[in-house]
Amino acid sequence: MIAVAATLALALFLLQAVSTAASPSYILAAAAPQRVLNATAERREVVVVHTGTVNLTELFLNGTARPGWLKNISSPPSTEYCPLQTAACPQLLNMTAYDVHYNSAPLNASGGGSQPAAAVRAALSWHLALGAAGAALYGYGLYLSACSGPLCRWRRFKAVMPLSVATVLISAALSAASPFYLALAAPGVWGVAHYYKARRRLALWLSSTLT
Amino acid sequence: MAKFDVDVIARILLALLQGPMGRTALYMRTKLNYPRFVQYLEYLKERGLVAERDGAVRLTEKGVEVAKALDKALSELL
Repeated sequence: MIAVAATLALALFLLQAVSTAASPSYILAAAAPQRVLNATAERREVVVVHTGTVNLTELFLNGTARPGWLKNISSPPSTEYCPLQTAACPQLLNMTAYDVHYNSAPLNASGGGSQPAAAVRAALSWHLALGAAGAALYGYGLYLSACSGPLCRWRRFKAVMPLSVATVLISAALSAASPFYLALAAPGVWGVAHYYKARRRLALWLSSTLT
Repeated sequence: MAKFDVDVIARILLALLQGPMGRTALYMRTKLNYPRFVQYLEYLKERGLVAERDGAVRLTEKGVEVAKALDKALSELL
């Protein structure tokens, strides 16, 4: 139970860490994030305000913001830095920047206004969390099975369960790469079923012996 | 009395299969709290699987038989 709880905690922690790490580094450096909803025609949501040097290359290429979303509040609010032409921009600007996300689909967007990048990122973070949980359970299974002596057989028998669950979780995690990886879950499912069946049989035999 | 876990009983029997051991050493192996460990020990004594003599807990003939059968079943399973 402790191992399962620790695994779930690790998975949730990683899930949170991944969603945080998806933001550019300057967002992490912001001391006190402000949340301001600006319901303009494009329904922009200002998530973080950061004052200081902003690396535009990072912002545009690796960040979540897009060209044209960067505003300078020390200038008139509507002035955009580097709209759509990042190549012509200076690399570093000492300014106050907004990391702007669409709260919902832009009003003028075509194609239904979905957020494919965010959806893919969320799905990937779930897959990563599943993979991490699987790896943790795999480690626990190895820990259980690394032993010697007569008591070791029992520990190895118990290790079947976490190792099987780890197989299922890791195959689910790998299904992000290809759904064919889900086939790897079959031995894991068989292992779980085999474990429960064997344990139940042993319990029945032992209780009949003891009574 | 509470229900007994097959996991703990198997651990006690298999640990004692290695040879007699002191009550404290066995208690440490079972990873139970002491009152619960005593309950398990009394339960196994009542069933004639273990006996305690000179401060050491050991398997009876019936206990050795059951522990060996359990060991064999596990080796078949794995």
